[in-house]
Amino acid sequence: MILRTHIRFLLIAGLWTAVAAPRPATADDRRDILVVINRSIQKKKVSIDELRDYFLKKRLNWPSGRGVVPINAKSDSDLRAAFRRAVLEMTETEESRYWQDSKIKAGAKKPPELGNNLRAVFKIKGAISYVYRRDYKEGVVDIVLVLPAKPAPEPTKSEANP
Amino acid sequence: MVPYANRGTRQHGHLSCALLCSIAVAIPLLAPMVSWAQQDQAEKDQTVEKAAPSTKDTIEDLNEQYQLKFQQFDERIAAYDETIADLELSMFDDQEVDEDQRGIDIYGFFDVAFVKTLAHKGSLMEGLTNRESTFVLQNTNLYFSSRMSDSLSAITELRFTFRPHGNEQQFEFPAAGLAYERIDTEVDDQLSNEHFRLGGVSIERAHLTWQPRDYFGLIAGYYLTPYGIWNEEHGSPVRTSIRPPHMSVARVVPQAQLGIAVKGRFFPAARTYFDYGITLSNGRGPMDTVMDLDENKALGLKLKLIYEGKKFRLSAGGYGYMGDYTDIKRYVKSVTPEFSVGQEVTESYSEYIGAFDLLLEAGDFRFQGEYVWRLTQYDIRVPRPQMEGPGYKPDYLAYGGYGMLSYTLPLEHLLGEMKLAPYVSLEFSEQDETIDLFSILISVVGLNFKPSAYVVLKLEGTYLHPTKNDDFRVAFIMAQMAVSF
Repeated sequence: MILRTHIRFLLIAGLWTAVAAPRPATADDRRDILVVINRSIQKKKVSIDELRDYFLKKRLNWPSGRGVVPINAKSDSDLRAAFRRAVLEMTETEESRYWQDSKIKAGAKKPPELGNNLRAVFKIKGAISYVYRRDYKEGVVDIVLVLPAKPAPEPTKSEANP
Repeated sequence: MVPYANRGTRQHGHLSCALLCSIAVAIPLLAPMVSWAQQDQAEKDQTVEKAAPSTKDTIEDLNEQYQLKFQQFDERIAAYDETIADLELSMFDDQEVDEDQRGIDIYGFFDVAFVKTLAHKGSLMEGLTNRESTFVLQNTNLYFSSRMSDSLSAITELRFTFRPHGNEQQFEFPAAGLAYERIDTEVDDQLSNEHFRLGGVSIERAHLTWQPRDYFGLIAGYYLTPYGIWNEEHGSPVRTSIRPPHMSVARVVPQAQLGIAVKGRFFPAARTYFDYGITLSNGRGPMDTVMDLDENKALGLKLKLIYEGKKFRLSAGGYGYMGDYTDIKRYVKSVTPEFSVGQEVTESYSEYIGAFDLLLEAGDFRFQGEYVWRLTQYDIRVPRPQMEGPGYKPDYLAYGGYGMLSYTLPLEHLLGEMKLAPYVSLEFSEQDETIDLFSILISVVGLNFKPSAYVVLKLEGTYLHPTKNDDFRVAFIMAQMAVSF
């Protein structure tokens, strides 16, 4: 009986250590995509569906009324490809088609593409973007969603043609 | 000789005796000292007890001061961190985003088509349509759009056309003394003697949009009527087929309106959108884009529910409209004694319109359908055109609809991201139920190929057959290349 209690205790302690104890960042963690927003936006969390709406301009305002400024990574970057796949559920061509069609239908404009999203989000009120965890800087912007790293199924243009 | 053990016992007895004597002497001597020490300790304790409250206060004061200092240090460190981050991040030029988002955008689309008309020999349609195959530049639309602020934007869309060059005004009819007339816009530059043809420009839309909230926006200007699928898709690179539905050609619903509109979107659930729109405009008229000839403004209401799942998309919407059409003429009433001009209403009717649309996408299948309905009730009637029969125009009902099914072939292994989708469409249109001639059925079979995001190629066969008059049967074979830029 005592032995069983001890084993149970050891198991719980082991589990707790595995879950709660800080562990060193692995290569995969560093490729987690962090969705970040400007600190002017009082929002703690953004769902993946909301994120899709913001980046496809189906939602134009934050709950506070401030305009949403989605900022994309460069079109040929692997970060953009990963985000497009995980959030927009589109390929590069499908995304281009979406914006061409939206322009003709309603004059919608695709989000700007920048090389340094973190700086842009820090600077621009209402901005939302995404960065790899490895590029994230503590205390500059707020994280509202973490998209865990997934292996890329296809090489991007830049990877294929460096 | 005393044994060693006995010697020790005797010595031990001497030592014990000496120790006892010493204690006996020392006790009386030490007793007062212990008493003094106890007294001293008690006095010390009393002093400490007296001093304790002030020391505690001092410690607490010091603690508070240190806490304050620590807080100040924390704040300073945070401020330094912020400054450092600010300095690093200030390298970012937000002008780049401003220019990207706020500048004027110029873009557009055009399409080139090749058309061959096949009409029955000797039929009326053989005479009315062009017998020879021809290339046509149908749309050349240019957009100018600008986002002035987060909530304010403007768009103007112009359609450039070679028309009215080539428009036939009148057929030759010697019995009535009519000669064949066709518009020719060719002019020449007198300096260089170069000849060129003037074209035309049509304003497709020009409006300001103020959208301070998702659920509330205001449009002012000339805007597309927010109904259906075909009218909102608007451009040939977006639409699946080549030929517009007949209900659109017949303008059962006004395609655009001049006035104001309120629009907005609600998010009842994830990936679900509820759109609404209220339109207030000049309505339909002989010159509604220039001025309204009656005081009754047209009112419309749009409601649409959209769900966009990963593999499934559904949208269902409706638009209701009511408005008055009024035409007038002005005439000189009197010259003397005073010059006066009068005006008279020459035609007036009220129209009530309902439009419904359904879009369903499941996997690679897509179905879109629309149905429109219009009731026209005259206040002041006009004579019927000769081809419609004798008498005055009666109240009439117009309606029409179509259903189009397309399937994107699973040819990723062959075509990559290029999309090839065959489609079929069936359409009926009753432009005026009081006239047999305007009741038609249209069958369409086509192929839509998207080799890139900017180009769409289409091939389409259309068979149009009036349900009550075989003389109007005609078929078209069309190919179109639509390009967006």
